[in-house]
Amino acid sequence: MGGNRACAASENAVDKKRGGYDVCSMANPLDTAMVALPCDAGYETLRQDLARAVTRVCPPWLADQVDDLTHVAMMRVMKLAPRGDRDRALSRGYLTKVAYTTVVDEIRRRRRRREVSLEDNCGASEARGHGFGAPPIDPEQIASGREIGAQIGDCLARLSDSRRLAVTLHLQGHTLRQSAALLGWTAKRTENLIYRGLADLRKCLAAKGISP
Amino acid sequence: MSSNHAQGTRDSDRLSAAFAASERAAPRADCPQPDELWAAVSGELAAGSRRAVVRHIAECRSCAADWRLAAQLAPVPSAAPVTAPSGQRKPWRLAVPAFALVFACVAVFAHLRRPPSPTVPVAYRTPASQGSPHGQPARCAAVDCVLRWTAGPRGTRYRLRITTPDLRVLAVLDDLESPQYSVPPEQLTGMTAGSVLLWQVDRVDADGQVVSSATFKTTLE
Ligand SMILES: [Zn+2]
Repeated sequence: MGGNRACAASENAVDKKRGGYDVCSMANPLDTAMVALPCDAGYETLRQDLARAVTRVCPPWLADQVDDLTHVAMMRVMKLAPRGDRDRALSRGYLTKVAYTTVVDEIRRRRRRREVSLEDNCGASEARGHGFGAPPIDPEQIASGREIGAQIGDCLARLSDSRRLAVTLHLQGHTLRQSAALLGWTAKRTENLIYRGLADLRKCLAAKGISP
Repeated sequence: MSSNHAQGTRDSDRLSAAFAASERAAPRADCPQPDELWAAVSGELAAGSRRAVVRHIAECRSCAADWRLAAQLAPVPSAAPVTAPSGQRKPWRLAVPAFALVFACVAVFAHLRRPPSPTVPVAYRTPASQGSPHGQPARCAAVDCVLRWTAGPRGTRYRLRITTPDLRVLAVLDDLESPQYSVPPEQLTGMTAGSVLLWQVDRVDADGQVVSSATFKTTLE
């Protein structure tokens, strides 16, 4: 087995601090590249921060997977360490991003296996707000919603490109200011496109017998 | 509130919720990766690339859902404030995100009532790529613990990370040539029968393509 390097974290001296985490480093005996891994107390702090980030991202139906997903997220942070991305890796924003990508990968994996519907993909914070004891869902409402959703998708596809983009962000719940910033357009232009795009959308749906 | 207005609001709510919920849809081959979605939502991508992602979510329900999740967490950029002309904003449009959220979250509880899906016999799972390596054994002796995984094509190298369940790092190995690793007993000092090793392998092919495995669990005997 050639070219190996092994780091037993507890055996390495803490030689630097990044983002509040102790980082222990050692030289790769073969190419002198540095491996940096948080160790001991720093490692535990990082794990706890990641666990909090994963909990924040995780929808309720994945709540029993928080430990697993935290572990996966931790592995990802560790993989980033040798890539010169350590400073970002240890920032709070970056941990949230790692948590997000980890959770979404798991959600997609389940969607591919048809274990979960899109309605299930809501953030933990909102779902908790509606907590247990929420009224039971009406299956007819779901079926009706899905049918209308398919028609909305069809009508969106018929809009001009710029109107489709503006209306999509509007339907996704973004404010006008956010939509304008995300699309890189002026607020005035974006507002006009949303307005006209929604009118087109309603007209298209009305032609299909759907009248919001 | 007039009955007509109330009816209109209900109809609009259905429309709004339907866009968020829609039909079951699996991710597609051309879906942006989650980190690209995150970068788009948080404004890290260039405007042209952001528009390309929005164009995708207009037609991909799966990514639209992932986008909404990112938008709850990432710092979404805002442009200069603009006052909307009066009369253009109707109440049902303001109800879009709220009702969509209620609809989606109520569905969560319907899902929770279903029996749990069968799980793979590995406690810690990484969303592994298709064709990713399988690892074994499930149990091994501390004095002779050899971790093995599915080999890649000729020239493939492997990266291996081993931790404990509380994420204490036992070993990080780069550039392994063989699809196996004999864990030195000294790296398992202090671990007793029943202790668990968690480990994950990256398979790096000759072109530098990386395929990550699931995270495997091996129990010491
Ligand atoms: Zn997609």
